[in-house]
Amino acid sequence: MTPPADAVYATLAAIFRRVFGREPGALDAGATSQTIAGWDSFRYVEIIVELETTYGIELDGPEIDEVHTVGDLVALVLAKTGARASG
Amino acid sequence: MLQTAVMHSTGAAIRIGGRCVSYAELACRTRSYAAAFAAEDVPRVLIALPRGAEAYAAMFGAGLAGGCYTPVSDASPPHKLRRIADLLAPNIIVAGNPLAAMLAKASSSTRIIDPADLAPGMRLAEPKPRHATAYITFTSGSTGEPKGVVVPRTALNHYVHWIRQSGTVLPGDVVSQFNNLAFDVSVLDIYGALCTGATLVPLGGRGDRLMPARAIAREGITVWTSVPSAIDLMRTAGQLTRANLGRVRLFTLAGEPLLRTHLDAIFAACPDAAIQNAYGPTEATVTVSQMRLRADRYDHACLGRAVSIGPAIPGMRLHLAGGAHADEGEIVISGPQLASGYLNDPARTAAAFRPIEADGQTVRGYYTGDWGERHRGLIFCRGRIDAQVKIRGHRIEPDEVAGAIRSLDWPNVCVFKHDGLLAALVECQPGQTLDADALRLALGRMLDAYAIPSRIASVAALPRNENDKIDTARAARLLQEMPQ
Repeated sequence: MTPPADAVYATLAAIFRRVFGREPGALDAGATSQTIAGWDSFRYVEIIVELETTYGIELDGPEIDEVHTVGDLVALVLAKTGARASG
Repeated sequence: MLQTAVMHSTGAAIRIGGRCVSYAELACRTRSYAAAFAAEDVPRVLIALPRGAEAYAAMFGAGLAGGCYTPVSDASPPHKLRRIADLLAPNIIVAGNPLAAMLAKASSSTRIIDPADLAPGMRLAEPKPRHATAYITFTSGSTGEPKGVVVPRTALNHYVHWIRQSGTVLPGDVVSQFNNLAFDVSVLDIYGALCTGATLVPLGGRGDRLMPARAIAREGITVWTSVPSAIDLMRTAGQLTRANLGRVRLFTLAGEPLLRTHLDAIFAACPDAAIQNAYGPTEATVTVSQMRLRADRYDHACLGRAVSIGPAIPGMRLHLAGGAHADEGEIVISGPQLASGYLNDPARTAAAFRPIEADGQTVRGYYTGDWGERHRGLIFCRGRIDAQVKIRGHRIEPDEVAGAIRSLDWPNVCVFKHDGLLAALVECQPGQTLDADALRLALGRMLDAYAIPSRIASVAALPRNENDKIDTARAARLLQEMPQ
């Protein structure tokens, strides 16, 4: 079953806290690596790997290319988990 | 490249997103660019395109039309691109929109070529004589002001000859094109693959740049070239595995210090691969030395965490100048790969390119500003001289001190010379407090006493540049402004 967006945001917030070791700041749909201090390549990779492990999905390179905001990332997770559930 | 194209015409020169561009198609596109450029007497072409066939064809086309080119990263901030365009004063800019429009506004007399508008099938009646300069690459100096390094065609030819003779790229290889086009290690990717008959795979997407190991697996890369920090990204992601990297036969790592931990991690996953530590500044055409390593034989090339930069490639020489004895000093390079100098900057050119005595002969040298030490006959690069701190006669490499602090669970730290002493600025997350004395105590168990920073301070966020690298100059200014 596809998790509702709110649940993905909550999971993502927990992942950000773990990866950053602190509250990362406002994690709304419009948040980007420009609005969240310290969101560098290394942390981004850790976030992706944690999302993959949590949801049992794989986010490939070309899919990540389309992610510009936290909202995009949540939408991608929803799409991938939905695809897995129906596929 | 055009000769390669005749031999491999139906072979895939470039593969991007699963779509192939054959050598014949690349040659055709190169001739179209050359024909368009040839309207200028001496084309001086600024190429602001993403990695891909259009960018490579424009590079080769500039040579064919008797001109030279400058590659810039299409991801650079606009003010930096405008500054480079001002300094270079190109007569042609190749860019897609919206970048083309932005750059056109900056220099109204310059002709803009958008790849989408370039007519196919054009060709020069005959190639023009080659220009003495192959390309001009802009590097950021320590002041942040870009400086153009003028690389002669003879230097580039020497380097490409080495790529082929050394077996760095072989026909049939699948070669990564991970490096930013403004970063001259991309010359190894592009000329290495396209002058050899290999297939070049541009990896410019954000996702592939974050997870290069997956891109390697997906594309079946056999020759990988990058800065060592790309290997760190693979390790962070847990993706540095045999399943991902098993087809790579050669890793060439350049542009940053390669560490023993990189070798350990790669060889653990890829025991059959070779690793090549390549060293060189832009001013000597990409790389001038290389240390080739195998899983069963690399201990001899390591000294603590450092890996030797290896012997000079044939035709080039490395000298150590100005040290207390013959086995230490500033690394000076001589040989046919030296740049002609810095664009429109004779003073800077004269300061960096100076004669050096070698075996009773005086040759032109490039003074790298890197400190080298020879141990067991192998040269090790110990970092930038201007970043080094010398205290009570001890030479300290700030990067090594930063590594020790990182290993104590302070992952983001910057170590630099400040008021003649060693200082460390440590990134501290909210809720964390830095106990400088406790950190000094812990460092005392890892480092010599003289290598422990005299001043340790914390900040919420270290300044970073556009490539996510910690900006040491801005960190030093930040510390300057902090109360003692």
